[in-house]
Amino acid sequence: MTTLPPLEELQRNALDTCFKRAPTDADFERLGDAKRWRVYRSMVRARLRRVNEAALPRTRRALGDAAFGELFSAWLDEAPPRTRYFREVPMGLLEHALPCLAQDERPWLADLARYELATWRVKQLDDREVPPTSDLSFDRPPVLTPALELLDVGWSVHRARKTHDYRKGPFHLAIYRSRDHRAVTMELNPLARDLVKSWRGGDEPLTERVRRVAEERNTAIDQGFLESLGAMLADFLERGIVLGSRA
Amino acid sequence: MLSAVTASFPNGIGLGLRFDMARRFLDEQPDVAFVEIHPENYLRRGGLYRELLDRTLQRYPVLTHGLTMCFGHSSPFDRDYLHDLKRFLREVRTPWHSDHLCFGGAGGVFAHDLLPIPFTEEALTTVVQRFTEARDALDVELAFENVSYYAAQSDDPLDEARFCVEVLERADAKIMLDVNNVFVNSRNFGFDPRAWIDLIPPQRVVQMHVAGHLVRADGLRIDTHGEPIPDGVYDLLEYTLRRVGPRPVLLERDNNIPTLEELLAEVRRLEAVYERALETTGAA
Ligand SMILES: [Fe+2]
Repeated sequence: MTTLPPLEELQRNALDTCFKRAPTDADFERLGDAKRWRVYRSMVRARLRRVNEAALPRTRRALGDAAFGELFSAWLDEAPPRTRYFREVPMGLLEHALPCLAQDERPWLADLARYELATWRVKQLDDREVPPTSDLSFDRPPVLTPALELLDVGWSVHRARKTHDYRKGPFHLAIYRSRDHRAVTMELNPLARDLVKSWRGGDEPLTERVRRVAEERNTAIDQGFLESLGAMLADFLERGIVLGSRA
Repeated sequence: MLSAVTASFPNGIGLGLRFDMARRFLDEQPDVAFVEIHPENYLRRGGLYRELLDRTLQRYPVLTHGLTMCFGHSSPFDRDYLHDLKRFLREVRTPWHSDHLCFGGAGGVFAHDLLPIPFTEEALTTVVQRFTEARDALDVELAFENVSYYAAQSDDPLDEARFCVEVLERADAKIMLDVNNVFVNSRNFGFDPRAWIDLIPPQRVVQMHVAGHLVRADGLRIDTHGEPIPDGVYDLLEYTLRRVGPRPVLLERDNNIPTLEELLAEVRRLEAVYERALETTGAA
């Protein structure tokens, strides 16, 4: 057996060799059994590649295997995964790849990736820690499901599936997890988007939030507004986006 | 001797809860002795996985098997993870928790794979210290799993078993003995798997794993958990059960997951092996 460096150094070297773009023969040899460490490198990379492809299938198809592989290699080389949760690995890839995707000549590409990842995340978000909830009341803070993402996109990436003839937006999306655990996407108008945004977190009663958003949007709180708001709240309660008011 | 808690867990053949088969499995609720889960799949997560877990807990005893604690890791523990894990282990009422004798990352970076540690004194010290620290933090019986590895870590492959024995003794630890991993290593490195098993003190074994593996064109065997269990692994399981006595045995199948019928057929074959092995020891 070759003499190995101290454990910590050995482990850092091993990770480095798995993740760097072009490891040298010497990189493998310092790990001991060079031939088999090559096997490890390909296993580690294949596994990480698979989870990223599972999270971003449409983005990968749009990019093609080679370009996706290039983003993947750059990510591993420059910002390898720092999460222990395998399902969160694609979040790291996207964070790293987004500036590059935003430069692409297809102006919708970055939005597509952001949208895919938002739906991936919504399916997993932990919704078990919500405060005790009672019937919806305007005098108390509202409680929303934690399994909700609000996403603004410039293109209608949430509509077309096979073709890429997206319409120019903006589109304000609410992506939430349904009771049967699907990620469901709704388009909101700008006022509704601001309302939902204002309903997350905080201690203000619902009335205050509605008043503030209406004021910011120069919208009169008239009969029509109240009717739409009532319909929206009823719909959101039905879907499980609004859970009620804080008890 | 096994502790009272350990000894009261149902012995026999269990299945791993995997997403691809979970819904049908839980709809049909076939007879298996227990279900094994990976906490990392459920920690800080809601949605379908959580629902599947809740349904599992209503019907089956559960054992937990971690993926990222990796006792050979040289970086310090993530306290938040240990805290979340401790809470989770209580919630699912597992009598012990296991994780792997390997490393899975370095300096905050995760490989999401099980990487081998050298069988050196330095690694031994690291493992014993880390194992003890984790057991103290989790306040639960803890076991390590021997892994499949592909890069030679010693001139004598039985050093792996000797290393395991040292950890067992120095840390007063338990082992989650993966019979398939012993078999895979024995073929990749050319040793007698029974000699490996013979070195392990039977009373330290809390649980076993069996699985299938891939044989590559170049002969290298890879622990994929994606193939049916080969005859050699059935034989080695029978040998190990005769030596160790009744323990929970998990069929691991993580890839190429077949139909539930096929999985259960494997469980039934394992049950037959289990019964036969324990009849001859009079321990069944
Ligand atoms: Fe295993």
